[in-house]
Amino acid sequence: MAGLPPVDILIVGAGATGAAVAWRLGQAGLDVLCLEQGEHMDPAHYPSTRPDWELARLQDFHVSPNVRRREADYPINDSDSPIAIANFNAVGGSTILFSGHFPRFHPSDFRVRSLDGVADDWPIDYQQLAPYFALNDRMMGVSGLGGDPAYPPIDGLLPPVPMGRLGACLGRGFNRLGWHWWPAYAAIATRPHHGRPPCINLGPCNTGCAQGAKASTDVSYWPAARQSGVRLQTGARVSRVTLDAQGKASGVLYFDATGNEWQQLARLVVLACNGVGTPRLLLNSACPAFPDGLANRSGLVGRNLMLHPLGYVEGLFDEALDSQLGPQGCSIYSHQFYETDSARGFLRGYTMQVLRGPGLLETATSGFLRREIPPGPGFAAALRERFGHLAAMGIIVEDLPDPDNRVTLDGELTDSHGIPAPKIHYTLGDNSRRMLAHGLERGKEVMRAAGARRTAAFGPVRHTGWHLMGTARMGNDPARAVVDARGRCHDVDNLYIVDSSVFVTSGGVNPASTMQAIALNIADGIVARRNAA
Amino acid sequence: MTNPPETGDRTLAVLLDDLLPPAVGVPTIDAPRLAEFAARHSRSAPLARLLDIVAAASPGTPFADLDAAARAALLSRIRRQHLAAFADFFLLAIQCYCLDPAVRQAFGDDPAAPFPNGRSLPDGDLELLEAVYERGPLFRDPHALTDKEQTP
Ligand SMILES: Cc1cc2nc3c(=O)[nH]c(=O)nc-3n(C[C@H](O)[C@H](O)[C@H](O)COP(=O)(O)OP(=O)(O)OC[C@H]3O[C@@H](n4cnc5c(N)ncnc54)[C@H](O)[C@@H]3O)c2cc1C
Ligand code: SF4
Repeated sequence: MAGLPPVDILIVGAGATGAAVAWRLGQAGLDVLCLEQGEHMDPAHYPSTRPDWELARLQDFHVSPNVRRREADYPINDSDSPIAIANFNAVGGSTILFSGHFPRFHPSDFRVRSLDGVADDWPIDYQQLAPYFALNDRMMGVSGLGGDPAYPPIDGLLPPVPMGRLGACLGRGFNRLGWHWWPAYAAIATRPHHGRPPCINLGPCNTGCAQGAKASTDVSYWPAARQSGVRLQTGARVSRVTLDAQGKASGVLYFDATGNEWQQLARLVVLACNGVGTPRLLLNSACPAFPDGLANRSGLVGRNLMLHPLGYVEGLFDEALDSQLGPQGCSIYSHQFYETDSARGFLRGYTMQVLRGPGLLETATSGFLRREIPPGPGFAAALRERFGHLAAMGIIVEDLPDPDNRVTLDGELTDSHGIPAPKIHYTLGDNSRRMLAHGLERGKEVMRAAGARRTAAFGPVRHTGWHLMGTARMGNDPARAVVDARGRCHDVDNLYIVDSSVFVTSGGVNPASTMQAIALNIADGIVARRNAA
Repeated sequence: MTNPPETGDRTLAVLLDDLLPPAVGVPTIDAPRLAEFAARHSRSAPLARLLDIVAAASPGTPFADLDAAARAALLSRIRRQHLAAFADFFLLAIQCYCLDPAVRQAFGDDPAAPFPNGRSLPDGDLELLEAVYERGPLFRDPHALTDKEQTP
């Protein structure tokens, strides 16, 4: 195995958080190298450039690495979980597929124990993160509408994505019930932004945005990071973080694209492999000083996995909603049931995320599988009745941390380099079940208030484990947390974690905005520490 | 049991006619098109499997020679007894159908790739939000709550 000359800062993972941290550290003039197991994506080959784009979602752009099986993917044993893990492995990470729904955590999300008596408070708060939310919004190009009563003031947004007939129809439904709703916050440029063209409503944002309007980090952070001198090496799969004799991180071992193994030395190591990839790497880096996994004296590496169980609600309307048009995951949303009201029978809350309706193929497929579109003479008529007439809504449920929900290493399954695959152990807690049931009912109520002729609701939906949180939690007490408030491992002084593994609780919103704000905050902590040394 | 090719072709044509018939203003796909689609996507197996099941289920008279009522009864039995095989076949047929440009056009869908033309859609009426705005804030502010708690 060959050793490579040391770099100042080594980041593992070039996704949502790795890119943000790389840019911030590069801006500060530090010598930064990022290792990423995937490659650069070519937007000219994204599914939306092909008439059969809906098929790709079932194949090489599937959200599950176990189905997709691209070279950069590693298998994940999620057979012990009702929710399958979704991710993407490339420059840009899971933001290549993300829908760009970009709400922030609420201020109350950082004070869960104080306000609601469950889980734990975070060692940081909304006010501390506020400047980083704003900075991240600028870098990503976030659209939305100011004045939202669900949040403290949020400024500087690009105009919101069009809600379309679908959004307006459901907005009227929410109004009839007197419930909160607002245009979605979206990491989608609705005007030219930092060299990115505006959204043209292609639709399938979660198969990659060929237009470059969606802020996957390959088109948002990475161009700026590269300009500030950050080096990015693709096709580099890290197998272990190594330690020196003083117990400090000395670098990593990785396999390059041709299968050769290298040791990259570094003065400081940052992990940004996501809430499954990061604990996997730490557990696989067990050594005599850390027999249960690196930086795992607390025993919490891999534990407290939170996945946001997702409920799906559908309404069928007589009126043509053109619901298949527009950015797939972004239209309007509601936080009517976000803040705790114990009278509802559960603590904490959820987001109602209005989704665009399915394309023609998905309408037909799900209609057949759910026995709503029968084969035979009635097929075309039933399909016509549904296509463009369906409104859909995701219920994003805040799941509370539970140490038994966890990532471990699989005893048998490995990736193409022989590195053990992660194994997921996850069950829904009672609070999550009650919240999900509540959300499904309220979702149907909105659909009916908006005029739906028929409604359906179910959950948790299997292939929706895309929010991966809590597996290396943050906290001031080394016995109860893996990293401190600035992302530094309690057990290894120069090892940092910046992805949503560090989340103490999961909030009830899509996490990318909050995790990137946290990552930028951690990056500034690294810079400050450097400057002080 | 394996179908002789010509029987298989006839069976497939009649199967498609029964399961995905043309409707007013909506064309359908024919057997050669489905066979080609399946081969192109390396998924001929579900097709061959269902043809075998159909052949085995109508040993006396070829499926294509049965009358409509007998075919419907047989298909409904097959659907119950061979749920997975039927679903695999039909999902494949749906894919071929829904990706056919003429079919898509008939449903008002744009048969072209979404990129680069894009689609346009209305902004929606932002005045609908007035009522929401007027109800005022609905988030909890822990700092404000702490202040209030501290105020006698
Ligand atoms: C289909 C889908 C839709 C989503 N929609 C939304 C949404 O609308 N809003 C939202 O907020 N969030 C959404 N998410 C989630 C969001 O994309 C992720 O939470 C976010 O990207 C996670 O950022 P990250 O930096 O932690 O990890 P990732 O973005 O997953 O990046 C991790 C990177 O690390 C690399 N890596 C991992 N292990 C190694 C290793 N051993 N060696 C080298 N490289 C490694 C991976 O290849 C990957 O590129 C969605 C996700 C998916 C999959
Ligand atoms: S809808 Fe907009 S953001 Fe989504 S893929 Fe299309 S152009 Fe990109």
